[in-house]
Amino acid sequence: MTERSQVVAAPLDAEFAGPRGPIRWRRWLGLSVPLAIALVFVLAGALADVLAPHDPNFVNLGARLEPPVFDGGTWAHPLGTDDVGRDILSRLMHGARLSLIVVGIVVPGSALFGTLVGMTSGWKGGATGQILMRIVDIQLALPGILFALLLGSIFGPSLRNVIIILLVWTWSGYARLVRAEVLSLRERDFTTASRALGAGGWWIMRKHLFPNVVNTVVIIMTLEVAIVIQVEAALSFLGVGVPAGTASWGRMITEGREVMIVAWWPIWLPGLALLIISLTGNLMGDWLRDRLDPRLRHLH
Amino acid sequence: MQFWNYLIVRLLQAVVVVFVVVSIVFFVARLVGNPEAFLLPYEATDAEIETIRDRLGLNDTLIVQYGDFLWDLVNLDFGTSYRGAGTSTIAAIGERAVNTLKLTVAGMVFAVGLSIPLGIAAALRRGKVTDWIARFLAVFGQATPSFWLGLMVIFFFAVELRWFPTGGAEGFRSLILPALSLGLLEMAAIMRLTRSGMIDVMGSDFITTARAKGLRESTVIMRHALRHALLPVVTILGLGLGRLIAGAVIIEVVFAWPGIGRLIIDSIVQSDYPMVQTAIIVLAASIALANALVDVSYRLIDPRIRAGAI
Repeated sequence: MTERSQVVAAPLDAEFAGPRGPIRWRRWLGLSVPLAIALVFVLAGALADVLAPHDPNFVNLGARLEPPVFDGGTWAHPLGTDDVGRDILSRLMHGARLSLIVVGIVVPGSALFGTLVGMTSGWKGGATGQILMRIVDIQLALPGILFALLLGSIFGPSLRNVIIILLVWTWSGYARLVRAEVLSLRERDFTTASRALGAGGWWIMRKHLFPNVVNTVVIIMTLEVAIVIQVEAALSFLGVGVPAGTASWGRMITEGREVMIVAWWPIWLPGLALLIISLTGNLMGDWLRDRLDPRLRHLH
Repeated sequence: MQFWNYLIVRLLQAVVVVFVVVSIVFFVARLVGNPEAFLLPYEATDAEIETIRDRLGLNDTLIVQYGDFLWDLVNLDFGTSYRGAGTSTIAAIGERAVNTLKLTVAGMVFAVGLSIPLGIAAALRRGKVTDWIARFLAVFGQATPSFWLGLMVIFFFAVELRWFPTGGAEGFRSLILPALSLGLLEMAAIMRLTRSGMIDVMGSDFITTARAKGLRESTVIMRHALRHALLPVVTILGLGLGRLIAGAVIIEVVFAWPGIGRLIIDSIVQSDYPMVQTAIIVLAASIALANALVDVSYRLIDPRIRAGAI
């Protein structure tokens, strides 16, 4: 089995192995462009208060639907204004900040929790492991959007709901993959050796298991960024995400929809922002996965 | 015999999932405290409040309420809507279910119908134009938000070109744009899996053997390679079906499609909580059932699993 897969793998590797020439150049471009976009996104979001040219919620009915500067507008509103005269660039930047906040809480939170559950259930096995995995199964079988609608219908739209839903929704993916890895790691000689030397479960998890699963976890975290941002936008679009009036990309698309026929920019710009940031997240995740762990190619 | 055991166990698992959903719905709903507030005007007297609390059983202990709730569900009594003079929620949902089903199936047909041929073609012509197009579609298909894509196709194909209606569910033409927007993400995922599966399998020994026997290339691909490459595809179809049913909620809102998803959103706006609750339970149950059926059929397709080898 191993022999055969190596034979199969050889030509695949050869294709990517060229150290110079166009492939090297393409690879460099393939990483530096997403990195640059990610940097712009983080800076724009983090410094939105300082950098944004206008108050994102300042309504100016005298300046409704002004086009972007490259479509006949003025530099007063570089990306134009929406149907009540709010500056779109400023709203995009504050929307980026909202996405950053959600990603910043949800991705590390669910990674930590999912990894702990996955390691515990993989290591302990037995009844604990079984129960934890049944919970994961139920979780995976249920689309989070149903839960989102439930919370939204009872508590009304809020940022808190979005974060709770995403945390509850995303941890199970980590748990499942980490558990699978730990199940094979715990049969390996180095864990047996450590156990023979008298190491306890917590020590082995920290010193032997975690370093071996951290690559997987980092890869899922990167791929999860795009999903989290898109889900926040989708929930806000449906009206069960952040409240109306908040500068969020999803809400901007809802609002842009009303004037879609007369003005392209209020709906195109937040949509493009969403598309570009998702592409960036996915490309970086793919790149990391190829680098750190090609076995995970089946993810996404 | 083994198969029937498996079928029963798998269906029982689905029942457990539905039970968990029903419990979550019940307990989350009770966190709010005052459902009677939805039903009464602000100036209601204490006596009126007390009457309605009694009628709804809100003065019983939580565990009794939970028992009543489960018992009603077992008897298929899903309660009545707060709006529209006591319409039964399950009847209203039943009317919409056909439309949601239609949309989901059409999305799946689009996703599978396009992704598998494209994935095979891309794998067989690696590095050529077909492959580039397929990979481009996969990358963008996975990154484009479905609701935004939906609005964009409405704008181009319905408003500008007038090829299709902008929304609603009248006839086959109104189904095309929603199905395309709904299925694109799944299409990308299945295509990637088919492509990588085909690439892996085309390098394996039994394909070389088949060719050495002098079989025609089409036979090698269709009979030998494809059967192998499609197995992982079948496994993700189950989860994919669930994702499509959930995704349909968003697409129904975009296209004013009269399905369950749009009913949920409308009911949220009208604070019609029983309707939301029933619709969520119905959707979750159909997803659980779909997952179970796909798992079962997977067992029928793969002879190795059928024989209990893996």
